[in-house]
Amino acid sequence: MKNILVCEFLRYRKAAGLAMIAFLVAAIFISRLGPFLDPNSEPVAVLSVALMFGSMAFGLTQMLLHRRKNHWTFLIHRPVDPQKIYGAVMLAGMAVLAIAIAVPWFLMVAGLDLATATVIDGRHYAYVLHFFMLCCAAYLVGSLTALSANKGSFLFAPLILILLIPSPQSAVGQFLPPILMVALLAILNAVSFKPNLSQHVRKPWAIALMAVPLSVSVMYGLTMSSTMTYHVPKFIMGTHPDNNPIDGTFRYYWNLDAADRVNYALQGSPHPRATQFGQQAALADAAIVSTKAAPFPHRGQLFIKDQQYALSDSESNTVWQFSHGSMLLEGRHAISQEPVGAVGRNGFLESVDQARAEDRFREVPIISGNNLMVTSDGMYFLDFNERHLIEKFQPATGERIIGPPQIEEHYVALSTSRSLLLFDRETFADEYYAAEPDHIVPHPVDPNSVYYVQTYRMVDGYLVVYSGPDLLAFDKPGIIVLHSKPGGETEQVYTRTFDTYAHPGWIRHHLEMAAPVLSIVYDNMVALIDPRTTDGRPWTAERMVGYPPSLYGVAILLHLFAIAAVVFLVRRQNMPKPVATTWLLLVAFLGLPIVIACLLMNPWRPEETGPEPVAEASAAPA
Amino acid sequence: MQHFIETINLTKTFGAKKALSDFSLKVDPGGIHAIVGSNGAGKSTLFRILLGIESPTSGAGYLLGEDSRSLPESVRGRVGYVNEEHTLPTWMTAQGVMDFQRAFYPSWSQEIFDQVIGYFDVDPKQKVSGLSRGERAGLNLAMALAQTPSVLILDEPTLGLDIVAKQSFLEALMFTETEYDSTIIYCSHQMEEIERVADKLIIMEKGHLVNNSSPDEFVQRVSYWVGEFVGDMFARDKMPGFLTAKLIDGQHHILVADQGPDFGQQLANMGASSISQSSVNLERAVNAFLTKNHKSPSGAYDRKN
Repeated sequence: MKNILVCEFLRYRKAAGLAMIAFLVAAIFISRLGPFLDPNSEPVAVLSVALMFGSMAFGLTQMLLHRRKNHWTFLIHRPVDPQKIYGAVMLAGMAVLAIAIAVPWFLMVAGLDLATATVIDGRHYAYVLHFFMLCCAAYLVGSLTALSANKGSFLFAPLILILLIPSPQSAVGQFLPPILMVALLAILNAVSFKPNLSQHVRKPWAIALMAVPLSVSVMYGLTMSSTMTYHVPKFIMGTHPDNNPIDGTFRYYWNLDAADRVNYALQGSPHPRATQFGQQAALADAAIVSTKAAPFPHRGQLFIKDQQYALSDSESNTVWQFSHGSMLLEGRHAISQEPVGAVGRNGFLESVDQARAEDRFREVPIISGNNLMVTSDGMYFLDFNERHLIEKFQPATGERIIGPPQIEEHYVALSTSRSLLLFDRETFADEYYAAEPDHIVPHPVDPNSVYYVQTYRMVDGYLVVYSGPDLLAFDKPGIIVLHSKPGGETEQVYTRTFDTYAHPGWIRHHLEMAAPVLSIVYDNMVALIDPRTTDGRPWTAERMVGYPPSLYGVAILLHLFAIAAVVFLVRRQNMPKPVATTWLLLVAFLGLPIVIACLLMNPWRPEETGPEPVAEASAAPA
Repeated sequence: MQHFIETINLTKTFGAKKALSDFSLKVDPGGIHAIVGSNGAGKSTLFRILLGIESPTSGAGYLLGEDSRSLPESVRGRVGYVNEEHTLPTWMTAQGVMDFQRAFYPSWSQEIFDQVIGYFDVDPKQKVSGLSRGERAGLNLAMALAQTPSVLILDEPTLGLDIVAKQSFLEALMFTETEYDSTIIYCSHQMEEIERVADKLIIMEKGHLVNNSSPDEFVQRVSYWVGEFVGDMFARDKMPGFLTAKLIDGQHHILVADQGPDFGQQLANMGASSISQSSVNLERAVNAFLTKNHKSPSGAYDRKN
């Protein structure tokens, strides 16, 4: 095994070295354009995507070179277990990736750490490992595509992107999914690496390991299928509800101009001032704010999950980065790179070394704009010239800030777990005083169920309109109009509900209909990895969801169709009993996506494989 | 009798094309078994099935008694394979490749390697990519033989070699076969090579086995007749065992298979005169077998007659 590893590595060692040099040259060039570890750096994003695609292309090319007829025989026909041969080839490939990607990335981080005052935490080094694992996963998808008889192996690629979506709150949540992904792909590659590459996997456990993740990709493929079967034809015919909103639907409301929305929202309202509100709103300044919880950064999170690289002060020409290691905002001069002090909870410090335990932030803040820091329990304003820290706002006990402030023309909006706070913009900008909200609008519903909040500046306060397709409950669109008066009182003017929908139920919920188990399991997994995200839905919330009754009927019909289709395929392929049982169990649990997986993972023509091997040939073994 | 290779009704189809058709073969231990067939006869497909690289559409193949679809590592260690491209890691030195291969075979014979490589002028420090085709073939053969395999499969190993390299290759092969008693399956289009080295001659044609005997026995199967036919009396369709015929100076030169001395009388009954029988060499006999069913421009021969 070691010999094969060395032989394979020698094959690519020069290419790996050249790739490493090219990476370093590109990285140094990018660092000249801006901070290399800026989470929002477009050149770094492009470089990262290129490296991942490159890894995939390398895996594909490496195995395609091996599987050429005579080359394949040279590799596989030797007295060694094929799995061991694959293990050696794979480790050599990963060593090449390590040299081409992980080493130069590590050198860049270490170089910045040692040679500059840039804040480099353990999480920056951890990202090297994380990204290397993603590249390894991409590499393994490439090699699986070349090795496996499964026609849908490339569909594992989107699963790598899914790994990037959540922001896990622990190192386990951060690293376990990519580790499991790499392990899964390595196993599937090893199973596919056999003398006869045209044979599909026939081990029940391998079928399950390959089919289930494939089904997740297929599930998203089914999502896109509604584009082809519904949206595109409707657009072509000119009857798509997005372009021709149906009166009485939430979509119709959303398509209206801001000036007309209040009038529409208050149709049928018995409120004595409904007409007056509508007329005033038509002429009022309108703005939109979000109440959705922005996930606060957690300590040690990968730097690419940061919302902003640093705070910059142009007057003092300093850059201030938050260190997850010291839990302080650390400053340096933008040109000389000399440290210029730090900022803790209690104000500016001459150096990081001066910080006491009580100076350190208890949670990682969101840094925003040029001089704002927000944690769930406070909002801080920084004056870099005066070296002064003001706690701009602190929520009441038991209340949490759930997102950064949103600066509009007439106010600054801040969403907490209980209310929407509107501050006067000029007062808010005053560097010397804490800010008091002019309007405190209690959220009428869970802020995460709100699509957007629209505000209208009236002569006597603000009209605040909460709306969303799931505002009142899952799939229960609604609009709630509130009137916030200058004295601090808030009156609920009207709640409008909608019983008509722009799109039919099978479009709105086609994922839950076509792959109910997978979509629920997937939502739970996302919620488990990152409980703060609204992308996932834990089981407790899932149980509260009320789907339209017709959806259950269609889902059952689709499930029965899927089972029938797999029974047909199993019989047509004359599959051995354990294989057939595996497919039937999979389809019984996972439904429609398994039909596609079954089609991709089996030959399209019935396979004639001849008689089963017998223990002894008609001739005695030599 | 133990068969080192056995196929039972082996059939392999690629789409509509049958590469092997009910192919049944038994290869006994020892000696050099030459496999001859025109392009597309199914030779390489047979080897790939035997090595488990491809699966048969129906039937079964056995190598050293093991089903080729599930060859254990122990059997792979006893079967050497050399292909026509002499595929080797081109980025390594000759010495490096030898060390690489040696590690996998406990029964590796450095003595055989040194003796065989001695027929070729291979610099151990030279990279494989810098070796000539002949040198690469020599290195490949030396390594395959040094594994001391029970069965060595050579798939057109001398393809593209010059006369000197070919000579060295055959000498090395015969030396090993004589000294170490390996069973060698030798596939080639070069009849002079076959004539020199083969103990058994296996002829394949369009996926069928048409001969499996010693070369001498095979030559005896083919008889060569010359006769004169008047007008359009010559009718090859009516001739039993007909292989090929040529019209030279008004005389028909006919090759037939599996016909006895009374074939002359049959020719006479068909209207032939001045009938004579001549001897035939191996190359001509094999060529007659291989060209028997080859496509030719429609009716070209008949028009000449």
